[in-house]
Formats: sequence, structure tokens, C-alpha cells
Amino acid sequence: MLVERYAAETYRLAAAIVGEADARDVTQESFVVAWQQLPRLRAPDALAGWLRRICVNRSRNWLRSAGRRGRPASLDADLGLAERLPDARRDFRGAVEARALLEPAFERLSPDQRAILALHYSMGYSIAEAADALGIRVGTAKSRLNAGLVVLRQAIGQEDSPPASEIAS
Amino acid sequence: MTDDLILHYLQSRGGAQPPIDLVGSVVDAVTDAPQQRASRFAPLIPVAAALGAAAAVVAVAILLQQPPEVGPTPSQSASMTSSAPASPPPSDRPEAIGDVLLEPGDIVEMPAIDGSGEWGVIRLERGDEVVPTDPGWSTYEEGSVIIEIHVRYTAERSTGEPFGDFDWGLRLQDGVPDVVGPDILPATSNPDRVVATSLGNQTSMTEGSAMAGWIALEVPIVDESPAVLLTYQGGERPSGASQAPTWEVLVRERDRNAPPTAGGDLLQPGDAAILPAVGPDGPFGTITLDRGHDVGGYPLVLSPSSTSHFFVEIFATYELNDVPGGAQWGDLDWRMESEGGTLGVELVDAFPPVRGRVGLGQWPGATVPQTHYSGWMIFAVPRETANTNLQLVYQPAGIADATRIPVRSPGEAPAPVAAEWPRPDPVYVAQNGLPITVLESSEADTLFVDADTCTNPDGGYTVTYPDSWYTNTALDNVPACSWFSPTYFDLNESGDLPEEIAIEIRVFEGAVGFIWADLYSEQITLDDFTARRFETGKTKDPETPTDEFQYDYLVALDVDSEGRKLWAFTGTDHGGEYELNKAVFDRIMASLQWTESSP
Repeated sequence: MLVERYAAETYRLAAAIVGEADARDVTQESFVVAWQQLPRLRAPDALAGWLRRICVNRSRNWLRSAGRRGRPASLDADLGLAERLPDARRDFRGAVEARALLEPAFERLSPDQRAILALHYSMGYSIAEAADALGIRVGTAKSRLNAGLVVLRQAIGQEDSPPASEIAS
Repeated sequence: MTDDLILHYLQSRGGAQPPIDLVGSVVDAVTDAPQQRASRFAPLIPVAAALGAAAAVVAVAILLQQPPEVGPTPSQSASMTSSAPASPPPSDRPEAIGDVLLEPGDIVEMPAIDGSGEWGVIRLERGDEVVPTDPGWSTYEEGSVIIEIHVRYTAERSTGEPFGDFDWGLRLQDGVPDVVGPDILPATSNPDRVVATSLGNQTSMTEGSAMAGWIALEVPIVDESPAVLLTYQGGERPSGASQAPTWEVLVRERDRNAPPTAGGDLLQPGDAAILPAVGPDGPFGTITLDRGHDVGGYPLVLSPSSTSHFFVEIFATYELNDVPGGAQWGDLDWRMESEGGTLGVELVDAFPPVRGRVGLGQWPGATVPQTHYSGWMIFAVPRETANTNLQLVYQPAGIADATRIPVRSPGEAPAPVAAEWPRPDPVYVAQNGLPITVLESSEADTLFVDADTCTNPDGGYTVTYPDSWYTNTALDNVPACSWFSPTYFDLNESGDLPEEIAIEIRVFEGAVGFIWADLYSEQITLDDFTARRFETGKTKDPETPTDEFQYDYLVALDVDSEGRKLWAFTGTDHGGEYELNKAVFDRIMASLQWTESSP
């Protein structure tokens, strides 16, 4: 079934963009929209990318309307996210510290910048795939990636920021 | 730190574990959602068969002494008498079911929805607009206009869910700022009307039965006169309360200088133009553009600065008669240029920094069941280009030909408006002997020269507080050392918080969920426990533009997210002086020590 097959990935993508607090709602909305639009999907083999695009757009619109709720700061999420950092680090305090610095910076990014960073770095899509999901050119995607990374680097005090290409995942 | 840290952080964001009940909840949401129909206006689906013959009603003319300040002039229109429940609709006009309720007698039919889907038909008929003759009657200081709607539910199957007047709401299409909130009034509460039968509500209805009555919609008079939509929220919604689908129908059009025309310009506020919405597959509807104002700046917009830019407001309304396939559409299709090309004009993310200006946004296709999308596009224009002709350019992806609409002639830019947001960053300072930084405050420092301590045996902590302040003894449901006040307070028997209390400390067990910290947020460590201090405010909320703030500490006493926590806070709705409370609060928290048995 459509939901069973794509729910987890859609949830992860939504969480990467809007955060876990709202990921379930965005996931539900994405599938509701997909379900309602399904009769108009002309190329069933494009379903995955189509659903991804819906999720990205629902996420961005969610962020745009999220101002009335403010930005999330979750102690629970701090702990949970720290536990998900790569095992090799096992540096809880460092991870919490990094998150404390990076999380507010990430939340200050525009919805478009959040989306491209999430698609490329969090979800592992190629820049071309991420650009396709956002409906933008590859060059624009690279530009947004770079702009987002600059903000994150500034958040952790890297003055001599390398170009984006040097930290490609 | 290196870029590795950024990569790890970003990768970790993609590693969220879906809740185990995710699939089930999504399936439920999808199951509850109606799939889009082929109908042009899915939310307001005309029912093929007319429901009963229209009956003539007695019309009583009333003289309206006071014209409205906005919107259509209420003529000496016939006001309708009440119709008894389940009576025929009030109009004696021939059946003419339409899409809007703009004129008296306009009729719209739409499905009645409960948690299981459609259970019947709702027939709406537009009544009059009325201005309350008693100025003191209006809910709004600015005054208001009342729009009357006759509503009739007819059940095509039985329903066991409540329905009625609470199904209905109002939305001002532009998101006009500082509106208390459009209201629904029982018809009988309007002393100027003869209409007597309010819609009311019921908890169930059997197949074939009907219920009818009037609702009176109170619309505040505001500087700009936006379009007004009647919204329907019957039944459970697929994804809970937020972002829930809303069925809407237009009950008043936006005030304009003239009706929108194709090929028109947008050079003056109130100008309107209309053009086809196009995608790679061809036209999919129409776009109506309404020119807002040139604005010098917005209090909550820091960037671009109002000293370097001014802002041009455009309100866009998309009416869809088809779904634009998989194409994206929305604000990304628009730009602003001079005759000579781009000028560095950028689209401002309108919401939330600009109160009352909900952005148009971008979409992957229609979000059913709406066929109507609208929002503001606010373009930041460099001030040095104020003496340039500006054009709004519409060019969706994949469309070679751009549509250009004049939006501004050369002229002086409006004066800058200094940004007020955010408030100045708090200044935290390190002090000898304190494990965390505290807000800089000589007054607070002086208060702590003579300090006292108290212990909360249940919570398991001891803190230091100014000796001139007061704390509580143990109550039935409030442990000692939970409340702090700069002035003496009496404990009441109910255990309610006395209004003098400035700071509260609570220890509890359970998850905290997410906290929206939109002013300040900092991760700190308190005696080896992970903690966060943060400040929230409502200033950013366009619906509650007040200056209410709260300053919190949240300490995790257990690595389990469901485990024990300490939560302490002060707020502008508490006693004392908020800024001083915050500084004292920091010093109290910095002094916190766990007793032997805790945490």
C-alpha cells in the first residue's frame, strides 16, 4: 500500500525540514494531498518523486505558517537527537553543544534553504534529485545549499568557511 | 568544530524514527479525507436535484439609518423573516445555485460532513448586510457589519455527530491585522433584525429530516476592506486541528477601485488585474491581483532593512478550475523588474514577520478540497530605484512568455519604519561562584546581597532567593519553596496561584513535548543536568499582537524523556516587574542545589 511503502521516508523528510514535533502532521497532510490528487497523477512511475515534492512543499508551507507557533526548542528532542548522532562520536555533551548552536541557526534558515539542506544532506538525495523535488535548477540548488551552509558555519564560529563543495556528503 | 559537525547534525535530522503508529494514523487521515472530485468547485458541490420548491416569505422592509463604512452599501433591502426549522428556503427566486453568496438571494449548496464523510446537503442563502444602529452593540471598537445567512441541513443518511451553528466561521481573506476575530452571532442577538430563528445545533439527525435557521456573521470594519469568506468545519478533520481542510464560500468581495480587468495595471492601491494562471499543461484557472500599499517598513522585519528598502504589497488570489499536474506554482512564479531588468528586488517571506500578511506560498498542485488560494507577495525594493517604473512579472517554470503588469510609477518611497523586533539580545554575565551566567542586573545583584534559602522536600532542591522576597510554605498540593514574590502574599485555601507570585518552580514526571521559544533559547548545564532556558513571546503572533512574555528554565533530571523534570518560569502575567523577575530568577536557578535524596 502507498502509505506503508512511503510513510517512513516521508516522515523522515518532513522531520528533517520542519522538525520532529510537526513531522507527523506534515506526513499526514502530504498523504491526504497525495490521496486526493492521485486520480490526476498521470505517470504512476513518478509516484515517489511526486510524493517527495508534495512533502517538501507541505513542509515549506508549514514553516511559513509556523510563526504563530514560534520555533521549537525541545529538551526531549535534544536528548533524542543526541542519541542518534553517529556512534563514533559518543560525545553527548559535544553533540548537545553542537545542536544547541546549530539548531537555532537551522531554524533561522529560510524554508527553501532548510528544504535543500534536508534533501541533500539529511536524506542523501543527489543535488539533481533535490533540485527536482524543489522544482528548481541545479545551479539554484547549489546556491541555496551554499547559503545555508554559510549560516550554519557562522553559527559554530568558522570564520574561514570552505566552499560548499568541500563538504559534500 | 569542523564541517563534520554540521554534516553530522544535518544527517541526524534525517534519522528520525517514525512513530510506530504512523502508518495507522496516516491511513486514518487518508481514509477520512474525501478524494478530489472532477467538479470545478469541489468544496461547494452543487447537488443536481433541487431540494424542494422555494417558498415565498414575508418581507419586512427596515430602514437602515447608518451606512456602513466599508463594503457594499446596505440598501433598504428586504429583511427576511425567520423560517421555522425544516421549512423551505426563504428565497422566492428561481433556483440558481452558484458558487458565491455575494448578493441577497444567492444560493450555494455543499455537502454536510461528519467523521464518516458526507451525510447530507447544506443549502446556504445570502440574506442582508446590516449595520447595527446601536454603536455600543458591536463587538469591535471599529464597528462592524452583520451579514445574514440562512442555513438548511438536509440529511441523506443518519448522522450521530453534532452539527449546527458551531460548524461556521468567518475568514478575512487578507489576514487583516489586529482583528479580534470574526464572530458568529445568533441571529436573535441582533436587535436591528426581525429575523428570529437562529440556526442552533443538534446532536443527530435521521435520514430525510432537515434543520434550518439563520446565522449572523459579524464582520469588523477595518482600514482595508478584505474579502470575507464563510467557512465550514463540520466533521472530524484528517490531520487534527491544524491545517485542517476548510470549506469556504465568498460572502463579500474585496473593495476595489474597479473590477479587475485583464490587461489592467496595479499602479494605485485598490487597483486590480486579472490574468490566466498557466502551467506547462496550459491554463488552470485565473489569478486576481490586488494592489496593496507601498510600505516604508514593518516593525517586525529586520531584513531587508527599511533604510535600504521599501516594500510593495500585492495580494494574489488563485481560482482553480483544474489542477496544475505536478507543477509547482505560487510566489516562485513572480518577480519584480524595471524596464531595464532586475533591480535586486526580492520577495519577502511575508508571514510571520508582517502581521496580517499571510504569504502566498508555493504549492505542488491544489490542496484539495480548496480551489481557491490567496496570499500576499511583498517585494522589497531598493530605495535607490524608487524613481523607476516597476513591473510585476509572471513567468511560471516552463513558460516562455512572461506577463508584465505595471505596479509602480517613479515617485518618492515611503519613509522608513524602524524595526522593533526582536527586542535587544539579553546580556548574560558570569559571576563568581555561580555555575551559569545570569542576566546583567545591578538591582538583582543588590537584592542577593542579603539572601535566604528555602527547600522543596518533594522536589528535592534548595535555592537561594532575596531575603526581601517571599516564598510559600507547604500547601496541600503545592510544596514549600515553589513560589516566589517580591511582595507579601496570602495563601488561599484552594491553592490557586496568588497574583503577587513572580516565579514558579515545579517538579514533575513526564515528557515536555516541544516548547516554542521564539525570543531566546539557550542550552545550559545545571549541576550536570541538561537544561534549557528560553523566552517566549506572543508579539510574533499576528492574531494576538500583544506584548506577553514568559521566561522559563527546563531541566531534565532523567535521561528518559518521560522522566523527571524541573520547570520554572516567570512571565508578564505574573506579579512583580518582569525584567527584574528574570534577573532574580536567573540567580535563583544558579543557586539551585539538589538535596541528598534527589533527583
